[in-house]
Amino acid sequence: MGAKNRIIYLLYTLLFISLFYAVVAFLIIPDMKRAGDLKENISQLESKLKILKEKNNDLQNSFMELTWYKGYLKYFENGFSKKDLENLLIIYGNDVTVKKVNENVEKNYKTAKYLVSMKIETPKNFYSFLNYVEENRIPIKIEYPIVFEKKDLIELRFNITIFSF
Amino acid sequence: MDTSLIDDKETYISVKANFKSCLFVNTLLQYTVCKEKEEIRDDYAYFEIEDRFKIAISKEELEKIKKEIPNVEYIISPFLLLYNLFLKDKNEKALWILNQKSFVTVSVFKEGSAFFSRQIKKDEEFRYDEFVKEIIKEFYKSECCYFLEEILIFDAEDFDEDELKKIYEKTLLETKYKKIDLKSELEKLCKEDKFLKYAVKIEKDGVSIPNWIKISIVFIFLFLGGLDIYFRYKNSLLQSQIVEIQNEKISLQKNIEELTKKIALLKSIVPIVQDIKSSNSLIKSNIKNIFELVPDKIVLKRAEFNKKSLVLEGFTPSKREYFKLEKSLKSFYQIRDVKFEKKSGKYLFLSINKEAKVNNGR
Repeated sequence: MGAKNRIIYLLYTLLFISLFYAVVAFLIIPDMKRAGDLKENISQLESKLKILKEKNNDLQNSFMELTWYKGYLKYFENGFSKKDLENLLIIYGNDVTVKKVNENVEKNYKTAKYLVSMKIETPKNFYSFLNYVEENRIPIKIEYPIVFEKKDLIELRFNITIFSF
Repeated sequence: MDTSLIDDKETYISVKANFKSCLFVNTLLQYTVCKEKEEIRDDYAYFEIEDRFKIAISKEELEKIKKEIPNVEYIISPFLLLYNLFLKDKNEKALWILNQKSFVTVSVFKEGSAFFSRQIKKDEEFRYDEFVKEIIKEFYKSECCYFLEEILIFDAEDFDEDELKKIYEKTLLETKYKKIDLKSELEKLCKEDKFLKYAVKIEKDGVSIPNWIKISIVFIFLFLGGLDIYFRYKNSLLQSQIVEIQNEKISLQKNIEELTKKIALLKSIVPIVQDIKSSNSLIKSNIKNIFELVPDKIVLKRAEFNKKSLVLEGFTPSKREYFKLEKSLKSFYQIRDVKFEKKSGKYLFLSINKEAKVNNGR
């Protein structure tokens, strides 16, 4: 083998090594590294996801525990108007009068106080009204004084506070 | 030779087998030399065959081949093909003839060496019987005391049977004829290393890299390419997995945010609702209790329920009857006061009860 050929072989070898190095260093290793990074990224994301899922489950459980209050929330959000109140009271008595006494704004909610006067046949009508309010989860609070006065029918006067957001 | 070598399909037959490229060369610029002869011609290259004889090929011819057909690795001489055929039965008393369309190759082997060889191109006046006769004459002229007993013809073309008869008639030597497929014979030679060792290996001016290294390099880079494609494919899968996880994360975060808001709202109304429920329930039970306490004989005219007090007004047939009611009221109110007024045979009473003992709601 001549000296010239030896140099050519050496050059070929160097070319091969350079190409091999270039392919490995600039293609294979970066892709392998990226695969490693992505895997690590996935494991981090999965652990975060696991925590979020646990939190979501806890919140779902809490939400389920509070489901009973959802009925009230509807009236808190949409409000229960004076008209709604009158329409409801008419079912239980006659000559219904509802007068607004005042309105208060608290930190998280609002209240509207009304003076109600109506005529009922028997106190049972009042009990039925209270039962309806409780069963339908209407945020209405009955307040003293409550006066029953017997005339031709029973004249009933009481205060009501309606809660809303 | 004016025409291109590649175009001259009769003189130069190219054969490829097992990644090797061979060229069967019928040129007249070749001959064999016995080992004993020390003949050296500067314009010819000599190739030793098994340390028995040499094949001489014109250097000019070799250069031309290298230049025009650079991929050729081995040159197969017709003498080599005949020698290869000779190695099968080693008949040293025969005139070995290879017949081709335009060429005839003749050899006689002695002690395993080609010591008489001729390569001839057929012309229009070519007659086989005359040719063989002349060749034998020439042989006997150059080599005394060595007699040929038969003629072996290996035919790569269609040989006329009449010619065989004529040859026999002219030479009186037993003539054997065998048809051969030149192409497949050459492929056999080119394929197997044990035959190729007799072929003339072209030493290229440039660097020739062995095939196994070339194939290895190709495989190495194919492997690296495959590896890279695999990693890229895997990365794309991982990337899409990340996108999926991120989407799931976003939807979970959104859900958590909504749930948190709803729960906060619900929690904010819980104490209010509990207060409403208990207060309404207490008021209802208080009113119910008081009305149930009133005896049938007492007729109430007015009942005023306050947080800590109760005012009752009504008619009782007797004071005694009222005190029955007051006895019951005792357990609910600490301070009690009653006033009676007689009206049309009945007592109009006004009962004021204060400081309730029990919680009557707010």
